[in-house]
Amino acid sequence: MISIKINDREYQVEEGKTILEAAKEIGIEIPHYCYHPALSIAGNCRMCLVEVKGMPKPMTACSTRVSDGMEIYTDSELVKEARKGVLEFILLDHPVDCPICDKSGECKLQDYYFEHSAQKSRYEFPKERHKVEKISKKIYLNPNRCVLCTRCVRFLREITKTNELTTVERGSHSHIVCVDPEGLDNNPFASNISDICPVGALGLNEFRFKKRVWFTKKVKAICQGCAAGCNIYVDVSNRKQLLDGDDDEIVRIHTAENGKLGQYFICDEGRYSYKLYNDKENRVKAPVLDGEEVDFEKAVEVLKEKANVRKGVVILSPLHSIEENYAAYLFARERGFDVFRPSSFRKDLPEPALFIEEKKSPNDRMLKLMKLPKVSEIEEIDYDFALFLHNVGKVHSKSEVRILSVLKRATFSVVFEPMLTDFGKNANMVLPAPIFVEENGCYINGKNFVQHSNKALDYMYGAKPIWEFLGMDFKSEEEVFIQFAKEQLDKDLNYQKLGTEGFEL
Amino acid sequence: MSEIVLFKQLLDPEVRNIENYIKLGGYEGLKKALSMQPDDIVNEVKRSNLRGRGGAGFPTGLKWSFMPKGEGQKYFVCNADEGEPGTFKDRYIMSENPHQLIEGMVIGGYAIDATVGYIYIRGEFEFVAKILQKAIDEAYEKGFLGKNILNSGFDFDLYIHLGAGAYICGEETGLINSLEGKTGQPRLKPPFPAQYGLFGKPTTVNNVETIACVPDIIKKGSDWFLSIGPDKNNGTKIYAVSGHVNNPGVFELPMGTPLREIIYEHAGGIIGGKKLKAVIPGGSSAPVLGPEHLDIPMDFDSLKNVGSMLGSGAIIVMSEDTCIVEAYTRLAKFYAHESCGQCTPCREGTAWLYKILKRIEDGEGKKGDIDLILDICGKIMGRTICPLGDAAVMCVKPAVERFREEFEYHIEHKKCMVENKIPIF
Amino acid sequence: MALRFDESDVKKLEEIRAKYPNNQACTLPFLHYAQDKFGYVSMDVIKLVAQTLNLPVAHVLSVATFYTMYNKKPVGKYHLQVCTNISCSLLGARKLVDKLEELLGIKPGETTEDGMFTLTEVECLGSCGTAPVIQVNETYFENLDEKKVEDLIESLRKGELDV
Ligand SMILES: Cc1cc2nc3c(=O)[nH]c(=O)nc-3n(C[C@H](O)[C@H](O)[C@H](O)COP(=O)(O)O)c2cc1C
Ligand code: SF4
Ligand code: SF4
Ligand code: SF4
Ligand code: FES
Ligand code: FES
Repeated sequence: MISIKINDREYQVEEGKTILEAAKEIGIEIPHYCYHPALSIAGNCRMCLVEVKGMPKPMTACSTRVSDGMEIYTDSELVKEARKGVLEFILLDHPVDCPICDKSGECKLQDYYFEHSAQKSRYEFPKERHKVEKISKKIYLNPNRCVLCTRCVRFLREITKTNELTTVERGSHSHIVCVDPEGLDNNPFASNISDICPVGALGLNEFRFKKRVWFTKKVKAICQGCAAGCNIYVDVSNRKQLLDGDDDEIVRIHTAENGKLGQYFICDEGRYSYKLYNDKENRVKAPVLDGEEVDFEKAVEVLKEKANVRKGVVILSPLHSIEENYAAYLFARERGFDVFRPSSFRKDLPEPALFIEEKKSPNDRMLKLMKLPKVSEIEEIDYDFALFLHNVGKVHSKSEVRILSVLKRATFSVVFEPMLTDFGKNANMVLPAPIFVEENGCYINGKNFVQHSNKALDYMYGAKPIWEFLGMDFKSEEEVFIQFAKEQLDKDLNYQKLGTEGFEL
Repeated sequence: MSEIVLFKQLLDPEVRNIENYIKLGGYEGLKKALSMQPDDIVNEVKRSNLRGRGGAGFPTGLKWSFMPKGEGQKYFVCNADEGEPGTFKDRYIMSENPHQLIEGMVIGGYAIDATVGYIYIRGEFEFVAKILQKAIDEAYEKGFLGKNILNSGFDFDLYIHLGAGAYICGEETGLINSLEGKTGQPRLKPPFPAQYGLFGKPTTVNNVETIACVPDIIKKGSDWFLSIGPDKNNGTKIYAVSGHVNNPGVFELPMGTPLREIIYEHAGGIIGGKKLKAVIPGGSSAPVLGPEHLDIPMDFDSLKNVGSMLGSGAIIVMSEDTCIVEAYTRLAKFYAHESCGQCTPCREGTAWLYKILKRIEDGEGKKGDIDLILDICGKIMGRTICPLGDAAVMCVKPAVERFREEFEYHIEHKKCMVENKIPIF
Repeated sequence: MALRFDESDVKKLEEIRAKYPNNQACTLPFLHYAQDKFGYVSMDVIKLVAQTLNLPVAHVLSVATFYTMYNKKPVGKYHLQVCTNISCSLLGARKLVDKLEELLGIKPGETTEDGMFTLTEVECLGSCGTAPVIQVNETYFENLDEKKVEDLIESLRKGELDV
């Protein structure tokens, strides 16, 4: 650790960090466009200029490393003037079409303009215009809005190594072009460039003109797509907030960074998975008993009676949160029921795969950690009572077969799932499970990170956590989690301690 | 006649042939160098006060001493991009006395422990590159290049790399990127080329004229070099004079030769006996000077003292018939055209400057334009990745300040105050 | 039409390749070579160079568009590149451009209909002491005036000059 001063206050920071990173850790945000924690340093936007005592010129915070005794000013007159200058330059050729720009509301140019400039343009010349076009099935490019930070180019060069975009020409004629639309179509990470772009130059076709971001609620969650457990933002449209009468639904999923996990991007499959959750048609809308909808009280009553047997089984799910699984586990434990885990569904990795995991479930690791036997190990399959937790997604097909036969042969079988599947269709009772954004939940990813996913929407269609159906006395998701951590991890953990970046086991 | 270090063609017009060059004592510096320790060569160059002729005047020996010691590939690169408007000196070293550059490259390579050298020549100079390549071939034949040079055990290969039209490739890290096959966008510094240069290896970049000084420094010793020119600004300098003079051309003279002598004696004075209006002393990026500066010794420190710079030593002379607004609009266009486009202030600022100047030149200037120009200059200066942004400012700003009246006249009267001018646009 | 390098090209390109430690460094010389062979740097040429060097098209495209000497459009048999930077302009480069426009009936950036001449204004050619200057293909013509430009065009038309 070395000591530096920022705006006359002394801080201890790690050696080797850049000024921008060191300041970020302390909580001082230095405006920037081209800096991205996962990409090489370009130093081209000049937005991050700060004053360093003893230096004749302002320095770029993104590329200058801290040194012992360094005195940095991030808000001096010189710095403010420099930022203003850069913003004015960037805006020279910018269309300022915020009213029709999808980035509006989360655009760094808009934000910084209001925060650091807010001056009228002194530019009175025609602006250079390029064609706005769809550069792939998923993505459009509006070069006129581009600030030439080259983040997108660096992402495709350095991370996916697929080089679909590049800058062409030079000077004020420089702009971004796509040389390989097909490549973008096939690139499993292509859509990240819409998150990476600090302005509205790169966007998703399907989000174009779809929603103003201020009409949505942005909640940090964990992707359910695979064992990578990527941090995501789930933008939900909220009936209460909305005038257009839309239903509660997920509008989009985009990247939330997790520096501790080293995760700065998400895959396209995860990103577009939100459509699965918006499937209203197949949603289980009430408890169903022998084909008939029943109310919650009735469901609880029936469950209580049917579970009052000697030989029961609970099959947990790698597709559900720790909380849902552990509550069901406790229910089984109390009754001396068997507990099993299905194997995760696996899929071949795409090219490039980067951090994508073969296991297509967010919580496989939890069940493994608990050393639960696999469903393939079920010997005696004629149970009096069987409960299976299922979710959006799939489990391994061999497990599927096994589980189906358990359900079919049990005297009374219950499936807890949000969308009606073959499992529910073959059970005596179906319980409406919440989808992941309807509750708080934790997941353990393939790298042994326990991470917390936030509730974004209210429980819909009579969905409730499993413990309520099972008549268990938990007041919140967190209560289940605390008990799990204590009993299974031997740790004193709660949501606050997990923080936003999770906890590595 | 003053001392000749570089332009040996004045002694023998055929010196570009290796035999002739050897007859004039060529490659003796190399022989001597190879008998010395590399460090001793670096020290000798340090003692000679040789300063970079590419623009910045950085002490060459000191630059060489930044190269790390030890194993691993290192490179010695010659900057023959010669793109600074008004500059046309390196070209004549390469076409008339190429062996002196080649000899300097081998000595420099030996001194900094580089076994490969590249000469980066601007693409337009293909005809010069051909002459140079012939000389390189000769040098290989004679064993001055290649393996085990003169039985010293030292290997050095020398290649020519042609640019393709981009002034920014004269900036050393832009040059390195271009040599690596990329766009010539300059790199962030640090790391400096001596740590992380060409192909990621320690690299030294020097100008043609700088390198061509080295053989004679080694052969005749640093004391001899120190005897030419003023203190800390030693040696000869090739002044390239262009513009409104009777006898434009290149003149090798002792560093510190007064501007007046160069313009009025060597370059034959101003065409038609006209008055001097403005003179750029060191390539277009050097702040403009006026008649009151004629007695300035043309060396690094003296020009720095009057707020300009020796730069490449290119002197552009403008007579009273020059419209400064037009001339500087043209130069602003050059910087806008040559900005690599990487960093915001230069990419946008240079283009904006040009547009405003052009509108003034076109008689459509607005009242606040001059202050706007000066304000934009302030927002570029010192805020860019490489010095091109600064160069544009050092070109435009002093001219606008010095000739403010002329700009104001243009704005107010929508026309030029200079009669008989030769139109630029 | 798919462009390709033939055997003799490949030999020459290999010689170039030997000067550098990696493929990427060959981007500029290969583009020069391809331009000589195919006349200009079309998107097909860019793809060919990329493929030959096993480099991304994105890379070669950005390089080809960055440098002014790569012609992205076909040029005439004689590419007249008039320096209009400061030293040449001080000595009347504009008049040369005007003269050429008159002689050829084209503006800078254009090519004559017969495909003989392309006229371009360029930046300083490093020949300011012999201004004004026109580069025709690879050859410099220095110390020009309107009369000399007329003669130059005539000689070129007659095919008397090897440029
Ligand atoms: C925009 C720009 C253009 C430059 N052009 C040239 C050039 O054409 N030739 C040159 O030798 N140096 C040029 N330089 C200077 C080089 O960056 C570098 O300082 C020089 O090659 C070092 O050589 P020296 O120490 O021998 O002078 C340029 C610098 C800048 C910023
Ligand atoms: S498109 Fe976006 S990410 Fe790419 S360079 Fe432009 S502003 Fe940056
Ligand atoms: S890699 Fe896995 S966790 Fe990450 S976004 Fe894709 S599917 Fe979701
Ligand atoms: S100052 Fe200009 S030339 Fe230099 S890096 Fe920035 S944009 Fe490129
Ligand atoms: S963030 Fe530092 S220059 Fe762009
Ligand atoms: S200005 Fe024309 S060659 Fe230099």
